[in-house]
Order: sequence, then structure tokens, then C-alpha cells
Amino acid sequence: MRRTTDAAILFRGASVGYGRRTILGPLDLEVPRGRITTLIGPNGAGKSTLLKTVTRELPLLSGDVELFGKDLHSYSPKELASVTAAVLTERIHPELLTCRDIVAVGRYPYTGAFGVLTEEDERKIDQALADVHAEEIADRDFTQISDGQKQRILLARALCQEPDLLILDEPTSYLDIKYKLDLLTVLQKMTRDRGMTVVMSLHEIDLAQKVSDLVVCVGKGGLFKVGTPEEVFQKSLIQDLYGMENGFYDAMFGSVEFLESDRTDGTREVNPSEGSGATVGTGVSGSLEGAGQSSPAHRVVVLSMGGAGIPVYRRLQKLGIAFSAGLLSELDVDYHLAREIADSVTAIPAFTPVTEAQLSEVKEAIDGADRVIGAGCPDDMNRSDALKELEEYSRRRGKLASPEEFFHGA
Amino acid sequence: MGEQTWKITQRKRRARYAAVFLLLILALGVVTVVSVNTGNVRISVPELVRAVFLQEGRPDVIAILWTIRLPRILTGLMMGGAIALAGFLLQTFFENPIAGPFVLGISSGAKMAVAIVMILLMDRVANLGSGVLVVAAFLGALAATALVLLFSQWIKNAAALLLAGIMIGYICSAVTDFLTTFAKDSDVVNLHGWSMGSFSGMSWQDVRVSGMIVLAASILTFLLSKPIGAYQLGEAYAASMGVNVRWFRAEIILLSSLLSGCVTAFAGPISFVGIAVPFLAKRMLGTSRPILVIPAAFLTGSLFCMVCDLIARTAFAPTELNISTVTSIFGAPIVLYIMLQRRRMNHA
Repeated sequence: MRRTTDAAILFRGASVGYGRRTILGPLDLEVPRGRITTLIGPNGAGKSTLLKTVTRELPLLSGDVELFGKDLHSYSPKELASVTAAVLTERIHPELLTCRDIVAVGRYPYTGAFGVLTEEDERKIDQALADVHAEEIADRDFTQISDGQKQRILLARALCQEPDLLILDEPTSYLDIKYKLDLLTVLQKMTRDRGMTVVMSLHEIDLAQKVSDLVVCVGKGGLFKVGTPEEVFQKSLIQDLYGMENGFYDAMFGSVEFLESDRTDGTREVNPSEGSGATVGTGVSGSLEGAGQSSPAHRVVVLSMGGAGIPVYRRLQKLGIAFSAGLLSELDVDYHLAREIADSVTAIPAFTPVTEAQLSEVKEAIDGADRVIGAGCPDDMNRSDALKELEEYSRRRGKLASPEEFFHGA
Repeated sequence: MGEQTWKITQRKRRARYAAVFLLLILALGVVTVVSVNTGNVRISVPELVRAVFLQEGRPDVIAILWTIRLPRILTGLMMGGAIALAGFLLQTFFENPIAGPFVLGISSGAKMAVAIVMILLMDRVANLGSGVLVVAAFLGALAATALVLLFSQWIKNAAALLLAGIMIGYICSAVTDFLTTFAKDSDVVNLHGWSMGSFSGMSWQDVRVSGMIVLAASILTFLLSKPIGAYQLGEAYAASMGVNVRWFRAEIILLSSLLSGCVTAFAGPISFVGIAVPFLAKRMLGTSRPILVIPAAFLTGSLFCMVCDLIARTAFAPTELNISTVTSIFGAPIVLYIMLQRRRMNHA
């Protein structure tokens, strides 16, 4: 085979789409060999279309696609089937076939005219079943197993085809988190141990960030960006890619966070006069109801460090209660989230000592607050002096409550 | 450990497959013997053996066996197998276990084509060979299939597609009725007798022609067992494994039309066998792997039709029932069962 490039797939000015309608392209893309490349982006942007073009389920509309250095369209169907295998979104409903039967069909490109399996084939079927940890369900009827197991069997079927390139279209849909991780772990193993190239589309961008070597963003309106996870997973790019208005992707935590729609304009400054008259956070859970409807009053201060504040912030956000976050180092994980979802944060710049001015700023906030939530710090950390001082300050004013006391009523 | 478990399972399965085929062949043998020996004229067993194997004995016995009973038995054997395979192919194609040449209107299409040929050409062409009727039936079956395919472009729902097939069947029947209304009495008698469905009245020439067609189409179907196995996972998966889907689909349509056209041309429309028999074969084998189901469905179809024919000619002798009546009585409940079972599965 002539190899002009080291890429597994090389798109050059390629346009993909259905019928005569171009959905994506013309695009240039180089999919590296032996790595995991993930397509992310909203539904309907063309992820599946791109994958189906590689499997030749859809014809290429224009441009060139090379597969392992050879023009995609010069492959015979059988040749292509021995180089690529796919796990598709189509759900299959075979009757009276065992999981082993399904996996065995993957030997298709290698068996003779009647598809009779040799000892060698049987061994490869065993291997594929073992690779996805499905030995124990091998003899069960395919229709009688769970969605997670079905997906593993379909992956085993594809592995049985011994492809150099494995294509998966949303392989983790319908799977619970354990199966998602299992599946992606198998894929990582295949690339590392067997040098298989994996190209897939994923909806779970957090998993995509962690599992991919290369990420391809496919957005509406021709948005197309390729890069390493570090390059791609930036707040603004992901927000644009999915057109997210009510939330954002936190690249550091790899998590999706909510934004209240009336706070998306980026103004997070505190207007003290707004807070007057609100009855939020008085320690009685009943009074919290409806807090989301009133204008977010800035009457709660959260004191924490080292990540202890994060669950409290999320909880307050869910209830629609505005809050300010207490003295946090810019290096603190609490600060990382607080600056996104708290109404105000008093922060200590990295590698600088606490100043009196910062302390009194928080104290002022405490004075103006109805309630102070002392979220403390994780068990394996020691409270900083500043945190101790602020907690003591709040306690003396009778405002300090633990998260439990605050959310459930003391 | 895992390897051993599946090897044991595999051995058990192979024993089951062997048992199923052995039983089918045995049952076919028994039914053949019983059929040869059953009829209005009683013939003793020694006489029968001599007449069949040595062609010796009373001339009337030889005549009854060689011109009536043996062609009829062979016809049942072939037509039963053919209609079962036609059903299996259509079920594969439409990915629907209740697809079959009768419910999809394909038999009616074939019947209409035969009626047109019989009524319009009978006068002009002195001796219409069975070949012409087969070609007409094949083209009729193909046309009806094309219509069903056309509808399947818009109708993705399997039940609605069957309904479309049934409607096509009704339209073809209406055209056939229209033609018979204005046809000459002698033609109508011919057509009516034929359209009732029967394995009788086959000449050895007919048996040879139909036998050749059925044999060839069945072997071709068997040769397709590998791609059919891939297609059972759906069109997209089949394509990803190297099946040339476009060509494969064309092959299936041509073969199923040839098989159902041939049956309709020689024996008339036979209902429900195409659905019930592949189902029974799969259940007996405990698998739907085509390499096993195709031969098993052929044998089961032969057995089913031979038993039904035996019932048709003996139940109310000397009056004969039409073969479709008997196959419906046994086949329709099975089809109903399949539908109910699928419903349950969908709701589970």
C-alpha cells in the first residue's frame, strides 16, 4: 500500500452531506494514526455525516479523502471492511441470535463463501469478547441483555473485524456512567496496545476532554475547529460551539455549570441597595421557597476554602439565592467556581499574604448579610487564620450557620 | 473456562440442529409414503412399491401413481419449500417477521399477470406453455414488489407497510375480477380452478420446469446465507462489513419474486406459509442463522404443504379443499401469534 502520509484519515477540501445538500465543508483534517480523535458539537451539525462519509455510507460530495494513504474510493467493499469497522447509532433487533453469534458476524470480511468459522476465527471471537469483558454474556440472547451490554457486544463485533480504524457514532448514548467509562477504557486500550485508530463522536464533552488525543469541533454554520483537548476546551469556544446561553463549560473541572439567564451579561457587581427588604436565608427552609422569583438578594456570605464551598455554591445557585464568597486565595478551587457563579468574591491574589483591607471587605459583607454559611474546609486541611477569624466574627454576630443548619433549618 | 463453556454450548447446539434436520427428513419420508398410499383408489403396499420403483403392475395403478399422485407430491414438496424461502427472503429484506409474498400482495400481483395472459392471449396462442405463465407470474410478482418498495420509501412503519401490501393485493384482485367478469366462460373456468390454489393437475413437464426453477433459486438463496447473516444486523452494519447492499437487495427481490411467481404460476396463491414456516424453522433450531434456517425452512415448508395437501384431498373426499384454505387454517394462527408476541416484546 502506498503511504503518502502518516495520517489515518486525511480530508482535503472535503464536503460532506446528504444527497446534494452540503452540511459541512469544505474542510481539511488530518486524523492521526493510533490515537483517539473525538468529534464534538451540537446535534445536526454534521458529526455523523462526517463519520458516515468515512464508512462510505454517504458519498463524498467534493474534495478528497485518503484512508491510510490511499484514496477512500479506491477501496473495494471487502478491503474497506478489513481496514475499518464501525459501531453505529442504529439499534439492531436480531431475533434468536446469541451475543456470540453477533460478534461472530464481525469475521465477515475474513470468512469464506458460507461464512463458516475456523478455529482461528473462534479464537478471535473469544479475544474480542474478552476485550470488552463480555465473556459471561456470550451465550445469552442478544435481545435479553441491557443497553450497556449490547453496546459492548457491538464493540466486540467491530473489534472482531480487526480494523486499523474504529469508527464509533455516539457510542456512549444510553449508557450509564459506569458503562461509559468501561467503553472508553477499552478504546484507550485498543489505541495504546494495538495501535488502533479511533474516531468517534461524543455528546459528553467532559469525557471527550479526558479521553481524546485530538478534538474536532463541528458546530452549526460551518464552525470547525481542530486541536488538542487543551486548545479546544476553552470556555468561550465550547459556549460558541453549542450555542450555550444558560450555562458554560468549566474546562478546569471538566464540568458543565449553569448560569441564570438574567445574569449572563457578565455583571456580577454587588448593588447593596438591592438587598434590602429581602427575607432570604434566614435559616428557615420554608422562607427559601420562591426566593428564585424575587430579585436575587445579596444576603448570604459563604466562608470556605479548599473546595468545601463548591457544594454550597451549587446548592445556593439551584435555589436562586445570590451570595458572596468569602476570602479565597486565587489558587483555591473554591475561587475557581465562585468567580463564575457567586455575585461577588473577595480574593487574595496568588502568592500574597492576606491584607487587612481584604479582611474588612468580607467583614463588611458579613455585616450586611442575613446569614453566613460556614462551609469550613476539607478534613485533610487546616483552617487558615483568616478563615478562623471570619468565622469567629460571624459567630459573635449570631449569623454563622453550618450548611446543614442553613439548608434544613437549624 | 469461558472457552470450555461455549464449546459445550456449541456441541449442544449442533446436536439440536442435527436432530431437527433428521426429524424433518424422517417426517418428509413418512408423509411422502402416506400421501402416495392415500386416495380414492386403494392400492396395496406391495403393488405400490412395484408400481413406483419398477413401473410394473396393473396399468391403472401405474397411471394413478405416475400421472396423479407422484407429480402432486413432488409439486407440494417443491412449492412448499419455495414459498417458505420467498417468505424468509422478504422478511430479511423488510426486517419484519410478518412479511411474506401473500400479505405483501406479491402473490396477487403474480395472479393478476397470469390472469391477463390467460384471458388475453389464450385465444391467440394455441398452446400456451407453462413457461409463459411462469414468466408472467414472475413479472407480476416483480411489479407488485416494486410497488411495495415504492411505498416503503415513505412508510417506515412496518405495520403500515404490510397494510400497503394488503391494499396492493386487493387492487390486483380487483383487476383480476374485472377481467374475469368480461372473459369467456371457458377461460374463467380455467382461471378459477387455478386461482383456488392446488398442487394437482401438474404434468411431468410442469414438474420438471418448476423443479428446475425452484432448485436453482433455492441454491442461489442458500449461497446468499452469508450476506443475509450480515444484513440481519441492519443495512448499515451489513455495508460496513463489505456487503454490496444495493446488489444484495436486488438479488433478494429477484429471488423472492421468482420463487413466489413460480409458486403462483403452478399452484396459485398459497397463503401464510411464507410467514409461518420460517418462524417455525427458527423456533425449532433456536437460532436465526441463515445457513441453518434456509435449508430448514425449505424442508419445513415442504412438510407443511404436503401435510396440508394431504388434508385438502382427504378431509372431505371425494370433495377437495383448496390448498390455501388448509394452509390458512394452520398458518394464520401462527402469524397471529407472531404478531402478538412482537407486541409484547415491544411493550416490555
